[in-house]
Amino acid sequence: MGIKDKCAIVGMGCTKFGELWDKSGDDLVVEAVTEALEDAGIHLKEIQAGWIGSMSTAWSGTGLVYPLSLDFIPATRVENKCASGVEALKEACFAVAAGEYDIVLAVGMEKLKDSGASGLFPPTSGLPSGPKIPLNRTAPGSYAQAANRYFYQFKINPEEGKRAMARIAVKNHYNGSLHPKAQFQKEVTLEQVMKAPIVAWPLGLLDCCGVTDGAAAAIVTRPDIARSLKKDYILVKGFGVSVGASGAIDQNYDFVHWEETVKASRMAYQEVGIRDPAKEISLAEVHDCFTITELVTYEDLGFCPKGSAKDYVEEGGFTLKGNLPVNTDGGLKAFGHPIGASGLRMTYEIYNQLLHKAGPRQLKDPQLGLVHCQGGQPGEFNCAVAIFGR
Amino acid sequence: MIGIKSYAVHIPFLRLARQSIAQYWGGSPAEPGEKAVANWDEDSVTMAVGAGINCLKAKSFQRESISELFFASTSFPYKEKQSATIVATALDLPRHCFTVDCGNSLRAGTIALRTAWESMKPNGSGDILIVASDFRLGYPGGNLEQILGDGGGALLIGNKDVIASIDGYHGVFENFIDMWRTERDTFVQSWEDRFIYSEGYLRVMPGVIHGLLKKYGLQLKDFSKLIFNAPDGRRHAELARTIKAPKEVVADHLFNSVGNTGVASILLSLAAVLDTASPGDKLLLANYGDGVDALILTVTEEISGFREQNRKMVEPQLKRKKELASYNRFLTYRELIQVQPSSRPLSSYPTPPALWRENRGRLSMYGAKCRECSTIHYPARRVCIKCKAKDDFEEVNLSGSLGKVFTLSIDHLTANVDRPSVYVVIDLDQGGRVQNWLTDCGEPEKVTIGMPVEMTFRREQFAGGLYHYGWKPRPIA
Repeated sequence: MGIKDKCAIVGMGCTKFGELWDKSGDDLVVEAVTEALEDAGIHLKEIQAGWIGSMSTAWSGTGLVYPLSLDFIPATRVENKCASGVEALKEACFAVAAGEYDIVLAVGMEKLKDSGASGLFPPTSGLPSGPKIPLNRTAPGSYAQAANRYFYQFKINPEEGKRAMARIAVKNHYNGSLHPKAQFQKEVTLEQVMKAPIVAWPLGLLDCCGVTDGAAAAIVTRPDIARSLKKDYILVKGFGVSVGASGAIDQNYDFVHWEETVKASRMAYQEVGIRDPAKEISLAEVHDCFTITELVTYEDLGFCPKGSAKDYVEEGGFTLKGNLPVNTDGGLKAFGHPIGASGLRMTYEIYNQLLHKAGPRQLKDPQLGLVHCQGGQPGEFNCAVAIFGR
Repeated sequence: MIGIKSYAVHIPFLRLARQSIAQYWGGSPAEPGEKAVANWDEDSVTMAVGAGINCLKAKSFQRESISELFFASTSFPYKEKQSATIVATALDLPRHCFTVDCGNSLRAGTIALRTAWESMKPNGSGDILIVASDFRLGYPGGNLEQILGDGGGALLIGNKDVIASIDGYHGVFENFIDMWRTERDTFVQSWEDRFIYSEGYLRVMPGVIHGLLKKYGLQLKDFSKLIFNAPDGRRHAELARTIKAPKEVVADHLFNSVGNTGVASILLSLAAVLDTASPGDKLLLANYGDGVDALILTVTEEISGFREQNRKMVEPQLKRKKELASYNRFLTYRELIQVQPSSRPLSSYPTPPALWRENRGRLSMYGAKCRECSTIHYPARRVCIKCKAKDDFEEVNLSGSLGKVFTLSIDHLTANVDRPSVYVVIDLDQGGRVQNWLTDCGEPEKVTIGMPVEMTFRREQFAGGLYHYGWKPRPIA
């Protein structure tokens, strides 16, 4: 059992990511879906059902039906914080694999820049602050707690640790400079990252991802239908999802290894049959909301042993020329992070790499690509992993 | 014998030098020294809780014996809605405790003291806790701004094991307008000082002090210490001269180190006296405000045992302090100037039903200890995070728990009033983990993993028209 090879992605689209003042969230959905439909060579009318991943922009399935005038199809909004995009894709795949529909749509969209705030706006569920959620907590403040504990636990000189993190920012900005749809298409130097204003030590401004508008979409169908439509498509190999919610009150929670990533990736590896992810996975798109996130994620995905990511970063193993390129399109860091869209944007890069359509970023003959999305903050993550192949 | 069983103070961590205020406005300080300034997350309620905790701690937290709570202040956060109930919940006092807000007069603390004395039955059970705090503002640029300080005091009144007995009372009321605040006033108003001192403080106080001496057949020389409040240091000295009190018996008003803390002022001075008092010392307490309350106290042999178990109350808190970076900081904390709002969205806030449900968790700081595996949860859960036992917990009060910093960050981006703020994860020594902002933090850069902390009751925010309170960690002095 499992999802392996039961679903194909036959078309994908992704808008330009950035501060898109002249576009509404609805515009972004239309643009991403239009590109995906053209890529798949099908008409909108052929879509039988749809899922839209959005944390705080789209409300309900109308967020998908309204912009596309797709009235009366089954449509649902999916929300799992920053993992919402992968979750939308997962729901679409499960429905196709179950035989309920033949051709469906998965969209991720977020329009963050209309809020007027320089960060995320709080969830609309009205969760009270207080003992459960400290007032005015910020994402960088939470991730910096993990970074400081990581340096402490692995006895890493904080300056050296910060430098290793800065190398991740430099790598992702370089990769982003090669993608015409990325929010930040410019390189940064190690010195620029190190000297950027501090947001929450050790995280400086250039250790943080952008606040972004954007959308991405995928057309999902059965492999036999995919074959009848076109010759280049990718197959879904596995999914894994894990949600944790007790780290903030659990004295055994260590802040330096994130069990949600460990659990979600192992579920996916088992489904695919991966024994040594560092060798078998060709490329990965991982959640790099902050540079420390990518650093810790290398270890939790099993790409390198616990506490050793700094050495691997310094050896350049995760660059475009490395053994296991990570965030080849620039990641959240340079491509941008419209929350609900990120999982499908990552899938878009894996899709293009596997189909040899990645232009200057194209890797040599990639076989398996991994997507890792992670919502929340240390102590409380929503992690979704997806693996794709040919 | 009815009297004081325990006493304590809460002096805020922050200080503002009068020179800094004078310098800003161009001029010389109205009085020497500095004043204590409530942190941005403190108010009369939190300072009262702070003093109350210290007072109960000195008697090993015998909460269940407290039958009445008086909260004395002229600066309650609510005009309608009792503040003593917030204090009682934070202190986790028994549910049958009789709670009273005693306000509107600078005599409120001694009014509470006299009422407690009168209502205490010689053979009855149950102690009475009095907490007093004030948080008053003078006009920016005026003398009162420099003179007024923030702080709280507490007294535990009982009928046995008293360290000082209450032996007499004499008082008058006087309908006299010298200082006031109407509902419309943010700042303390006062009338022209020649009138208010000559016909008010300096006339009424000596009269009542002499009346007390006459009533009990005593003379000033029978007293080891004379403790009285005053509008400022100059009038305090003038009163001493007027009644011909020798300098050495006049108790320190603490104006140069804490400031005039309004209702709390007399309790702070009394605490400083009790810190060094000897058995047999006779104390005269005279408190002015819309009249005068004057009381006679006698220190008992119990003071020696009390002192063996407790360190001094006032001096350590005077020493534990941090100078505010600037006068502007003070204006910002009191919201007297509007500063650039954070570009971060503010957190949401709980509504009255949620606040009510969370009284024990949020205000009393009860967590849940699993009966199966002993794991402590804060906030409480229905299902154990470790062994998954359901609804099998005992409540544990964590407000007195010490802890250590597990990890931290210094956040420059938060919408907190104070930026940067230190965001910490705390492992409590008795078990349990809390994540919150570190308050009363001297230098953020010096906070390290492993640093010991204690929990303190603070105001988290004013939102939705309500004051929101909770417990925060702070470094242990």
